[in-house]
Amino acid sequence: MRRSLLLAILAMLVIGAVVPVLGQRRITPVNNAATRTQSQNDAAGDSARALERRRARSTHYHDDNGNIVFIDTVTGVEWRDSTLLPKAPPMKYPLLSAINIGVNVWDPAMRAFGQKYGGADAFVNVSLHNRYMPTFEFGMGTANDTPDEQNYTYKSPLAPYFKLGCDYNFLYNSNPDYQFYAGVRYGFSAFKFSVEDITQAPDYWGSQPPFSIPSASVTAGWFEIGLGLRVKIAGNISAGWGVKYHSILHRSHPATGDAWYIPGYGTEGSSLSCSFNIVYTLPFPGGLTPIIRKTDPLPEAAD
Amino acid sequence: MCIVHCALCIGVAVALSSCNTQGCTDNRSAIPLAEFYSYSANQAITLDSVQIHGIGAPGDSLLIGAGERVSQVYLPMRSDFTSTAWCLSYRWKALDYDALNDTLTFNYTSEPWFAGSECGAMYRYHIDSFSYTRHLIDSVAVMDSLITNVDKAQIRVYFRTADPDTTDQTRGGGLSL
Repeated sequence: MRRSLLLAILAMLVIGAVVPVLGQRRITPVNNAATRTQSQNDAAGDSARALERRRARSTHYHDDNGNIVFIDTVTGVEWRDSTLLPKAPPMKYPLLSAINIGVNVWDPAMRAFGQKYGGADAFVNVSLHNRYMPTFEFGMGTANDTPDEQNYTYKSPLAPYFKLGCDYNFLYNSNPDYQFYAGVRYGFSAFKFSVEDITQAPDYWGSQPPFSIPSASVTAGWFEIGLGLRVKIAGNISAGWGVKYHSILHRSHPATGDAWYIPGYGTEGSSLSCSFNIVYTLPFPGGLTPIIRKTDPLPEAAD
Repeated sequence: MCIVHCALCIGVAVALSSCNTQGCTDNRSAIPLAEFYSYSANQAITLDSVQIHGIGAPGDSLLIGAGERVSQVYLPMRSDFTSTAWCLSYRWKALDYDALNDTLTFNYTSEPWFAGSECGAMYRYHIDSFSYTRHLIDSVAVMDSLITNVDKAQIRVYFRTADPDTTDQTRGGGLSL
């Protein structure tokens, strides 16, 4: 009996110790993306509701630029709701902005100063959003040079070349009268060259008669990357100048040696060339007028 | 301001573009360069008493005279012929006999060639065949049959040479029969 009483007391002590522990609430701290931004969301909701309340007690009108101006009917203060301001369009100018037609007068100018090679080229491009300008160039080039302290005359008759590529105007949302652009081109030319009046100094075997290298046909393709500026001069006329880096992609190698001058590319060994363009711009109707988007309808105020 | 900076960058690039001349780093004519080798040691040697002249050269002028120390020699081709022959005479006391002279002949095709704006235009040569006598020459090797203006030894002339330890310099300067 005594022993049973002792066991019963012991059992009650164990139950008394275990039951409160089992009854405790288990709390796990929560820290995730939702809880971290919860306060911000609450604040944003508060400000949105505050704006709605302020709009509800205001009247409004549209200014000359189409923006909504609120007037607080209680305080009489004018205010603007920045959340209703029109967003800047990603493209300020329409898709078809203008057609540009130009001539590159760099080579003719350099030939006037004594350069023995070069030509002239013209180009046409389409301004898309005043940002992208797919371009086609066509030109003619020739060379006739007897370098100082050399033993030959290099001749390359007038030959055509063309280039295809695109310019990218970094100032596409600015005034189209000013452009700063980068461009890429692929150029190709098919031409002939000959080397004449080759003389050789007398050597061990004595003097030798002059000789010539007959005309050889060559094709060459190259790529260009360039930077340029263009500014309006007057009316639809603008001037542009730039510098280009170019490198040969493919060329044919005649048995009589490689060509020194490639129309449209320049001379061997020169990796940079320049351009100076005179450009006439033909805008599409409304093409050079910035797009102004009207303000969205005023949202309904919350009660 | 940005446009001004861009204009300055373009100006600098234009200025740099005018400085792209490298000059001619090779020869201004295509002349094969022959190098003398010891056949036994298989290494380049220098000779001081060999005399070289072209067969049919105007005035029988010498290309190399005895007494000059040479390890390489340019052997110019005749562009208006298809063959050029050279006579090598040995002026060491024990070898100074016309019967020991060697002859080296090249048969080739010449073609006009434009090497570039800096190096100019010249003839270059395709060596079709070559022959030689074997008195003191052991053998001849043409490393590249296309002779251009590249300044590189493309012909090796291997001579019979004595063992360096037993060479009598007064006899043959290292050459031996």
